[in-house]
Amino acid sequence: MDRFYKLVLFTGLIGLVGCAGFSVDSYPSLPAKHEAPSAQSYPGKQPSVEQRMPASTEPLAVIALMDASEIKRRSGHFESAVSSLERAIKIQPRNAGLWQRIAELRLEQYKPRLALDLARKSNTLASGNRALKSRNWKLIAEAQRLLGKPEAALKAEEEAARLVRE
Amino acid sequence: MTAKRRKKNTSVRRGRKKSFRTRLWNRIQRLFLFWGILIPGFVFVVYIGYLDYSVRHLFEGKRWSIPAHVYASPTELYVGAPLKADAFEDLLQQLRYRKDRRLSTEATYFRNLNRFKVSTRPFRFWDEEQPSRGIEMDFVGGEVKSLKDIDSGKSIAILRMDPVQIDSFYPSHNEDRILARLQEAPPMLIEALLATEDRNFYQHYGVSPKAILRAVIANLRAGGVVQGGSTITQQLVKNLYLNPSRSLWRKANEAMMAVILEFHYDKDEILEAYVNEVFLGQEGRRAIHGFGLASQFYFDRSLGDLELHHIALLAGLVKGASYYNPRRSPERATRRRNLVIDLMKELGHVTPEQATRAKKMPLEVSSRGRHTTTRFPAFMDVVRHQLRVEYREEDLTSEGLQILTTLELPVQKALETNAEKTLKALEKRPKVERLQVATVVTRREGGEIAALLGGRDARFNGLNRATDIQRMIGSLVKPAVYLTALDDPERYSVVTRIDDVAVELESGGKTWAPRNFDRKEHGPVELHRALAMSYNLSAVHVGLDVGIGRVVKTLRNLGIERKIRKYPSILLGAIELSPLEVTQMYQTLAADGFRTPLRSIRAVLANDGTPLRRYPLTVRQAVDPATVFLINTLLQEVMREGSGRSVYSLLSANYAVAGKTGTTNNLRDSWAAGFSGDYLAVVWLGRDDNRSIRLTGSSGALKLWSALMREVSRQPLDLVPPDSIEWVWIDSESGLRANEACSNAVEYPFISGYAPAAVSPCMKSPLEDFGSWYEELFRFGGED
Repeated sequence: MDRFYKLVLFTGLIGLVGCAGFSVDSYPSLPAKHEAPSAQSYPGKQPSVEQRMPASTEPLAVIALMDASEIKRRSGHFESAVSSLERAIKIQPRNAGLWQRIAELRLEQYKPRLALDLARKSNTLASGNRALKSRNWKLIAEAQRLLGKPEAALKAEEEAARLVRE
Repeated sequence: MTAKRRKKNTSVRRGRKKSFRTRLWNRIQRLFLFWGILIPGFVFVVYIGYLDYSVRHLFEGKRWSIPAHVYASPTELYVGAPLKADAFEDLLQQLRYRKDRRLSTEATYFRNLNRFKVSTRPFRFWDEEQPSRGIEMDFVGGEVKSLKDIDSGKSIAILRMDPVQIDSFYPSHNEDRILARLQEAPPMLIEALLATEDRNFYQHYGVSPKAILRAVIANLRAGGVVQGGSTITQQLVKNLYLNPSRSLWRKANEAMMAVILEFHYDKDEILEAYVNEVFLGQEGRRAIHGFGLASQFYFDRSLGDLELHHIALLAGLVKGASYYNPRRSPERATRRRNLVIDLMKELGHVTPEQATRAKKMPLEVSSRGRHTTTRFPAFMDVVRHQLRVEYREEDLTSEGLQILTTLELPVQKALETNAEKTLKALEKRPKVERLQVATVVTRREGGEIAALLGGRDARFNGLNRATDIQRMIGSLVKPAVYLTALDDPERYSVVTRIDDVAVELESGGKTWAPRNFDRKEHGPVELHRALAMSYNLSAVHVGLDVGIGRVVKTLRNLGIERKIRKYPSILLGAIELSPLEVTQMYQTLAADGFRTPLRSIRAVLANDGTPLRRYPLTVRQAVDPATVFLINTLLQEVMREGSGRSVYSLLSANYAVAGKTGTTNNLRDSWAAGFSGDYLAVVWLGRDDNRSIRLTGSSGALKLWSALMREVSRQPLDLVPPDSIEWVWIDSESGLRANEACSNAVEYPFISGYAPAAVSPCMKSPLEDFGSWYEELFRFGGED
């Protein structure tokens, strides 16, 4: 009797799979991960802070410091503007946007070498945020140009364009 | 003829005699003029010139001698800030805020359970002036829940508390002061001072004959010195000279110098110097000079916040700060204070009602003085070292510089407490004794030194083991060996199999035969496992394969500046480094391959708050972030499954910390280095005589590392894979590409395109897979 029920269940499943357009070419979708308890994901793999927490959810304190930095920048107090961002980084050390802002300020101060490395750092933290990365590459391009490396600048620009395109 | 001649002769003799007398007289006159008037006059003029020079030199050079004041990192207040109510109150007490329900002055607070009302103290930070503000805040669950401005009721996004002063750079005579301008001093203080010390200050020319006469009469009557006739100007001269002798010659000198001082400078300048110079107390070796510091020292108030009864007490202390010490002799100090109040009443400076009210007030002296000795000698050592590059010693001790450092007091406190506790516990083990310790804690990003311990006795100002000793680093070097290998993705990945077999090397006529800690060989072992288990033979094989020169280059890229000799033994950590140097190396790993020089100072301000120099955040990409990502995931495995796994008996598993332990030959040194999401710490344990401590990195240093991280770290480690990283399932039996369906499959990170291409037999085609599932189903059914 049990065997009969199992046959019905099996036939039903075949039907469902068929309806779903099962193809022998496709990558095996079964069994799922939880059905293979001996397999494990390397625990280093985890969703990044940025993936879990989009940039718009910065704490008010960080937003206030970014605003303060911008006001100082507009009045030409660049070091002071950087200082506000450094305070923000202490609160959110892995916020790629903050690193990018410091990079922008350093470029405005004509410190291309430092701006370049800060933009690279921002890129390292910007997992999945293509727009932010594209801006970083543009910044890197400009810094490379100021450093007298037009070819590297061109490559950086291409990378910036690629990120926007894709 | 003869008579005539005789007469003539006599008159000649008389003439001669007269001329001799005249000459003699003239000579005496000349001698008198020369020796009695001209020479003494000349000497006097030269002496006055010398005094004039001395007075001007002393007055202009020394009156503003203020030690540099050193501050800890300020606490940031914002909604969500990780801070407990008790910790906040502790901070307020360290900042010497007074409990005052009315918040009548700045630097006061009031606590009701988890709600605080605070009137903050203003402070000039590097980037902006922060005025005093009235704030109201609530704490819930170890966080700041709300932060509001009392006056407007509006929320405050972020606010920096004034920083705790942790030290001063005193000149050789240990004078400390807070500079006060005359205009800032309460008029009542000046009135009290003149009433008690020098009523005719604005009338005399430096000395007051009337006052001297009055003093002489009083002293004659009393039969001894009971009253001084010195004016404020004379007292200032005396203080500037720092000579306590009471000889008549010195008194005369003082008087002359006082007149010269009055000649050169106006009354207000002299009074201002006096207000800042006068000695008002002693705390250990530190001498309290001036009313600015004295008001903080005795009342925890700024000068502008003093009331009549405080002012009278301070003015009374001028007569004898030690004799009338209000902390030691409160009754004597009260009598002296009330006398000053009465004097002020007599002179009409205060009304009888004010005087009566003030005399009824308690002394209100704060219960304890500030800390007498340097509290953080090891950290201050690093600060001083950094400052000496740019400042001369005399700039540090006299210019009143304000040095804003990176020291985080809660982290330092946690470090000191846990170090003492852990070392005591370890010394309960047999034959473990005389342990010493050095620890450096930094912020994971930015390289700021948050805490530093140079030895077991945190207050001992001697050998700083965090910076001044170099010890073999043992296995702490291994991440650099594997980083070098992984930087060549064509040859090495995290699953590359390495032969963990014995090796013998000839070097300089000697044979070097390294062994594993367990004295076994482990055969082919995957790279990640070799690091996690800290196998020595694997590290030697990999290091020799990639080249010792390249490993040294990696160490240099990570921030080791010391010259490293290219011996094979460096692959097992035969490199002598200080804990601070090791921190620099691991800092580059923690910061994704970006090197940031470690910093102990954020900024230096002039005494008036003008920014002089800032030490900003800088980064330099030193190693490819993708390779560092690989190493960091391996360092997480070390702490999860390898030699560091005991950390999770204290830390929550989601912290996913990355780190490495190190042990040197004969168990001489025990190391632990690693980082969480917010802090990096490097711990060394050993003995000063370099004998065995009978502890490994895991059984020694790691204990302190874990206890410390549990207390200070608030953010789990969250590694962000760069774009060039891909995750691939690997069959751990064959080491080949698999999928999550395979039993024993683990997902590992690879540099994109360099994961093993060959497919493991465990990966069956979908059809096969389907068939086996089908079979399984019926087999299961058959058994039922």
